This record gives sequence, structure tokens and C-alpha cells, in this order.
Amino acid sequence: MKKGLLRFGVAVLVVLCSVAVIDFAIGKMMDWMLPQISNQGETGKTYFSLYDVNTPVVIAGSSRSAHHYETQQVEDSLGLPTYNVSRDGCFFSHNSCVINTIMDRYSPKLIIWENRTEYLAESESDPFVNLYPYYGSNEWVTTAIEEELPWTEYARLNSNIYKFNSIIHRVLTRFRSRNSFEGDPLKGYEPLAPRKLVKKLELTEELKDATKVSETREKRFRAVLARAKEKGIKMIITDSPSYTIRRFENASKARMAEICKEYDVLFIDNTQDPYFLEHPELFDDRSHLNSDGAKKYTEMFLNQIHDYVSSIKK
Amino acid sequence: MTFQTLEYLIFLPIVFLLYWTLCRGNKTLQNGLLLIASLVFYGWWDWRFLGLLLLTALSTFYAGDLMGKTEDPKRRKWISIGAIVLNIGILFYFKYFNFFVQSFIDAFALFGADMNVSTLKILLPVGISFYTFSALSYSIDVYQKKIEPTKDVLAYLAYITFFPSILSGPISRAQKTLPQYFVARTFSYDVAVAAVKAILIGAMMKLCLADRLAIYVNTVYANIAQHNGTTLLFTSILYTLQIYADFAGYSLMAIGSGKLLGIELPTNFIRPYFAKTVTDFWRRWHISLTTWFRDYIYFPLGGNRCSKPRWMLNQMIVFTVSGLWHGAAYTFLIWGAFHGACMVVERQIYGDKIKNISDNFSIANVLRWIITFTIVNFAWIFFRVSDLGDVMTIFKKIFTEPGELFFDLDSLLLGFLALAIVFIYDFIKEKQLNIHLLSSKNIVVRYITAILLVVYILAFGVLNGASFIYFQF
Repeated sequence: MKKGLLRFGVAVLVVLCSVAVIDFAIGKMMDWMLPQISNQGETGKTYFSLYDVNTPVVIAGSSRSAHHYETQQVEDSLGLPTYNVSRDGCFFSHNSCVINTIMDRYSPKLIIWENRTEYLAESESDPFVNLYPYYGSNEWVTTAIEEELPWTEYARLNSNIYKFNSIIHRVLTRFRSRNSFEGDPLKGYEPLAPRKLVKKLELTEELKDATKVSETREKRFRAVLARAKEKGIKMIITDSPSYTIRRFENASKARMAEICKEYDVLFIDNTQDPYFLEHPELFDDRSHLNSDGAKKYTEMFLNQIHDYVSSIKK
Repeated sequence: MTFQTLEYLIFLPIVFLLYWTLCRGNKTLQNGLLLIASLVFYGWWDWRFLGLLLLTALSTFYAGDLMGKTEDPKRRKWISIGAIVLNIGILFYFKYFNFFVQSFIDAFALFGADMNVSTLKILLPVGISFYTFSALSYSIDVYQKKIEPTKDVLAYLAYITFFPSILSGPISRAQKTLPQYFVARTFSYDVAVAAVKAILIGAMMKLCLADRLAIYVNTVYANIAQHNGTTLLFTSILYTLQIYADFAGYSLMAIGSGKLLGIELPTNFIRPYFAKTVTDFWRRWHISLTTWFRDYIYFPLGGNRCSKPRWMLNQMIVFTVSGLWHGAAYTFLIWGAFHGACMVVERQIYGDKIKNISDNFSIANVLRWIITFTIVNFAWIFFRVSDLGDVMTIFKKIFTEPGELFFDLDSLLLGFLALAIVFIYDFIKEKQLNIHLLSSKNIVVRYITAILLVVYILAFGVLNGASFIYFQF
């Protein structure tokens, strides 16, 4: 029995060691490929947002931000090169890491940070999955992941393969076609073409529990705003229109507004803008404007920030 | 702590090492360690229900003990009834109380009577349907004198609470599984290797196939109104595949974990989607539950040794109860009754030949397979969607609203890659082809397959995905 147990232990060890070697090799390969696919596809967009974007105006946020801010319109209005680095499924902590990493490299003139007003609430989902490849190599990402996620999750991130879980094929595909990439003419903006919905959107009430503010998120939010202030970067915290009625108690929003005021940051909540609530045809779904809506919204937003950004305009 | 979590990946090796080193060759120590490990495992989930688990285990143990001390049939009968009533009562309270109260309120409301009875906020203890059935099988088998009552309370508790099977089975039967706890288990290299293979294949099915398809399925079913009939039909097929990969994957991991500790758990799945009749499907799907119902409900009702109408009734009763076992909802009842009805119809069509349908490749068999898969697939819609109105919407759309398929490239690409692997693996087993990778005679092939499987799970498994579907039952 002792012999059998030992033999079994050796077999398991052989498998584990081999997996560790492959894990190391795949990790190295992915780390080498990532910079070469910067800004190509979703995975490349995150790399670009962290390490390559260098425009004076940066728009950061989730899918709402990617679909709602027409970069060219912003650029034309401000007279400054602009890039929209927003990405689907990337919420508060993801973007705080992105903005911090950007501020490590250079000081943009303006950062437009689209945040749902409830993002500081403890109950809000705050996924990090798109930043997993940078765990261990990016200080902001590593700290935020260790602060927000259970140990079981970041312990797994010691595996290089797990860091690239479900995206290895995407990286490889992009890497193969990297030489034919000619840049993104829309500069990060992702328009949603207007379409005929199977069922017309109905205006319904959105219920959320945003009564308890997360201490770590509040701390992170303050830190980002404080750094921006220190570096002389103008910042706008904003939430764009939704096709829902939002009447829930929102302690997060109150705190967000308070902190913005403290650091002289412009805070604009457009979620309940009456014009958009009366025009369901401008939406692709309840949370996302289509390209017609985005055009109208960007125009409205630029009017709202006109005075605040006058000093940086060319 | 569930099988796909990091906690379990740490927990299982610790138990394994302690079990085969400190407790080596000592039955009492082995059972003691299994009991402690199982209580930790279950308590990790929700420690408040540990008392309930022990109540079920101890009540059936002492019922067995009392039955063993008397030869009086009447007394034995009452003791057995007592154990059954107590445990079914607990199950009923936690699982069905609200459903029946609400059903009564709804029924009275139909006649205009407004019943002012409130339902209770009852939390369902995980695994209750599974461990209750395991425990009941012991009481009934002792009563029927199929097994001798055990005096070894430690062995019995280790058997009922055995952590690999406590949350979702396979439902162990005392007659076959309990005797394994009466002797000291000895380590076998071949069994341990087979165990690891089962765990690896189960993990692949769950994490790479079931949880990958779940992303697509959950997205569509969360917004039924926005999707057309083509998408809903496609989603129903994906759910059919998802639930198999989820539950069969879980069962393999449970069986593998059991094997690692020298305990053989019953087989739960034999490639059910290769079935050519619904009857055949139920010989292959959730076998430990089906055989439980066969032995403790179907046979006592008379089985098929009775008149045809009575047999039909027995069949319908068993499958309706089986539906109800899955959950307190009308959709489960309909799901069970639908399967029962299909089996009754099949029996009318095939007669006794149903047991001997050839396995050869023929047009007739292909047609049989298509019909069976379609029936099973449509029945799963009732199982997945809890609201009857939504079920009706899905069926209506499937038949009246064709359109463009909703496309989620990643979920489908990675899902179909995993599906291809599982299909090939199942096909080889079903057709008993002489192709072996994990069990190859060539050591290099064996190791490379195992290593690639681990790498594949790490690279493409949904490792932070959902729990197992059957945990809710």
C-alpha cells in the first residue's frame, strides 16, 4: 500500500510539474504577445488603455461609455486629441486601475470617467476579470484585486494560464493578424446601429440596493481624484442616460457627489434626463444608447461641460 | 465549498493524505476522519443545518437498531413508519410547505375565497433530498429484512454524511454502499488513478462545457421576450446539453472523490442522450434516483405485475413524484408527468420489445433517437423555466417566430469545442471502441492527455462560474 501511495504521489507530482512548466511558458508567451496586439479587439483595448493611450483627453468607463461618447465629436469640440478607452464589462475598480496607470505614465488634460452613480455601493458588482492578465505586474491592479476579491480568486491568479482564462484564443487570433491592423478610426467609440427591437422598450422602475457605501471603493475613488488634482488633471465624473426610472435610495451617488465637490471635480448625473426618457427610439436596450442617441447625448454632454473645460480648450 | 472551488482542491488532498497515512488500515479512524471531514464540508456550506443532517442520520440509525431488536412485525412496521414520517416530514417542511400552502390559497381563490394564510421564509438545506433518500433506503431495507441493522453508529454516520455524495448524490443505497464502511479500506494505485481520471473528466464537463453553455443559456432565458423562436429553440438544445454536462460532470467528480477514499459510489449516468426511447433515457439518466423510485415506490405499487391500466397509473405516479422531488413547482410536476406519459405511450407502441431495441445503425434507430432527443429537449424547458407563462411564450415563439440566431461567438466557440470533446469521449464509450487516451497502455499518451486536460480546464474552464444545477434540489 505504501508503495502504491508513493507511486500515486509521484504520478500526481509529474502531472503537476508538467502543468507548471506549461503554465510558465504560456504566461511568458502571452506577456510577449499582449503589447503587440495593443488596441486590437477587446483584450488589446485594455492593454492600450493601461500602457499605450497618450491623448490629452481620455474617456474611461464601461460599455455604456464605449457606446455613448462619440470620440470624434468630443475631439472636434475640445480641439484636443481624444480616445475612448471604455470597455464592455469594466466597472468602477477596473477603471480606477486604468486611470491610475495612465496617470503614472503622463498627465492628460482631461479625463471623462463614466461611472454609474451606484458604483460605490457594496452591493454593486465590480468585476476584475479583464484585468487578470496584469495581476502581479501592475501595482494598481494587484492591490485592487487583493483588496476586493476573496483569497480563493487571487490565489488562482498565480497560474499564468488562469490569468488568460478564456482569452488565449483571442490573443492568438489577434496576434496572427496584427500586421494588418491599421488603427481604430472611431478612436474607441463603439456605435450601436439603430435596430428594430423585437419588443418595444418599456419604461420600468430600476430597483437597486445602494444604501451601503463600500469603504475600499470610496478610498480608491478619493485616491484617484486626489492624484488627478495633484497632477493638475481636470476630471469629470458622469453617468449617462438609461431608459429606466431610478428612484432608489442612492447613498453612493450622494457620497460620489460629495467627494467630487471636495476635489473640485465636475459631477454630472444624466441618468434621468427627461429628453432621453421620452425617446426610447434612441436606445438599443435599457442601458445603452444607439448611435443616434449617442450623437445627441455627446452633444448635450459637451454643452454641459463647456464652461468647466474652457481653460483646456485649444 | 463545492467541487469546482479552490477550497475543495485544498480540502480533498488534505483529507486524502490524512486518510491514507494517519488512518491507514484502521476502520474506526477512517470512518471518524470521513465523518469529521464530511461535517466540515457540509458545515462550510451552512453550519446551521448540521443538526438536521445528524437528526436524519441518527433517527434512521436508531430506527434500524430498534427494528433489529424485535421480531414483532407490527412493532417493526410502526418503527419504520415513524422513521419515514419523521424524515419525509422534515423534507416536506423545508421543501414543499410553501408550495402546498400557496397551492391551497390559489385553489380557494379560484372559487372566490380569499385565504389569509402567509407562507414562511424557509431556507432549503442543501442536499436534503439526497441524504434523506439515502437514509430512508436504510430504514426500509432493514424493515424489509434486505439488510441487517448495523450496530456501528460511526460507520453509519460516515455513510450518510459522506461528503462527495451529500450535496447532490449519487444517492447511495445502504445495501450496496454501507458494507464498505465496515472494513478498513486499503489503498489501490489503479483505483486512485481511475478516481483522478473521473474527477478530471467531470471537471472538464462541468467547467468547460456546462458553465460555458450556461453563459449563453442564462443570457437568453433572462430575457425571453426579446428573443425569437430560432434562438429559443437553439437555447433549449444548449440547456439540454448543459444540464447533462453539469450533473454528469458533478456525479463523476463525486464518484472520483469517493474512489480516492476507497468508497465506491453508484453510477449515475450512462450517456443518456444516446437513448433511443424515453424508457431507455431513464435507464441512463440519474440512475441512482430512478432505481430508488423503482425499488421503493414503483415495485410496492405493483410495478408491471398488474393490469395495464394499473401499470399506467403506477408509471404516472412514479414520474409525477419524481418531478415533485426535483422541486416544489408546477413546472417540475409537468416535466415528470410528461416523461411518465411518454413512457406509457412508448409501451403501447413497442410492447415488450422496448427492452430489446437493437443497437445497430439503421434509419429506424436514427428516427427513434431524434424523437427521443426532441421529447427530452422540450421537457427540459419545463425544468429550466420556473414560470408556466414563460414556458408557453417559449413554445409559442418556437413555432411561430423564426428569426436570426442570437450569436455569442465566444460562448458558442468554446462551448462547441468542449462539446466535441465530450461527444467523442461518450461515443467511444457507447460504441465500446478500442481507443484510449487517459487509459492508454502507452505511459506517454496517458500523461500527455492528463496534462493537456488540466491545461485545457485552466485555460478554457469557467472557473468562477455558477454552482451545480442539482444543488437546488
